[in-house]
Amino acid sequence: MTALGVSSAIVRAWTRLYTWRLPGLARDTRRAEIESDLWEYSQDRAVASDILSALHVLARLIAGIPDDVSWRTSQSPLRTGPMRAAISLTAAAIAVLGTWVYVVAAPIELPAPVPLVKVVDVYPPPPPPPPPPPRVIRRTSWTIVIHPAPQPSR
Amino acid sequence: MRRKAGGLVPLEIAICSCAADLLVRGTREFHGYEIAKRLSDVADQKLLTAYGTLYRALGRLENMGLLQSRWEDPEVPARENRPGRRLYTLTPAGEAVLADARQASAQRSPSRQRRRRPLPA
Repeated sequence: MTALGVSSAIVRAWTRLYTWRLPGLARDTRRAEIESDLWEYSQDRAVASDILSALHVLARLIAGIPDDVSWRTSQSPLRTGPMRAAISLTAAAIAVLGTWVYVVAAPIELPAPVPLVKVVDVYPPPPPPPPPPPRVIRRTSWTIVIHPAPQPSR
Repeated sequence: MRRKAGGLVPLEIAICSCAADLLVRGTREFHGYEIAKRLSDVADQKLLTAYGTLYRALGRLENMGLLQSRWEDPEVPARENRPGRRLYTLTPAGEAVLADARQASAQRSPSRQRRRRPLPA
């Protein structure tokens, strides 16, 4: 499941929670509206990447929790404990969000990174070999050879 | 935000204003996500209005008679394989209240106008 799918599932779960045991019309209307909103957002091509979209959905959820709780207490036929209902609903929301954050923030096995430090040979290169010594030709004696002049042919 | 008796909070005025704007552009009916997107465009914000805040405000406006809503024909979403939309329309009462709100906004003192964000056109 993608990150956007997870955050949408959290929104659905929260909506089911705060509409739980409400009169059928109010409950179904709110759930259907949220479902439509989530679908429209997922189909909107202008939305950003998956993780940013998921965070956006989550931010919309969190920012609306006080209004959700307030709406719930105004809709509930049992008005005997609105404060207790608000507290319990908010606590449940925090628990759901905490679970999601834990799942998202769980460590992931990543491949070993490429080392940033590369070991290089810092010693200077060895000096070039010395040139070979010059070749010395020593001559101790000289021989003069006189060749006879060629005879002219007749 | 605490509301005055019989008054509208800024979000409700903004919703009516965006609905009137959509009406001028030929869109008579709008759904929740559409108005949320329009609101963020007008306010130049990236974050859309929160789910609870938006749909609670829409419900209040409908209870006040400034908006009316209907669910679209179930055949349409079934054909397009998507959830059904709740379509809202600005009522004449809503248009009148919006006109009053804009007039009141225009009559505010200039110093107060500078501090407040102007209503979307």
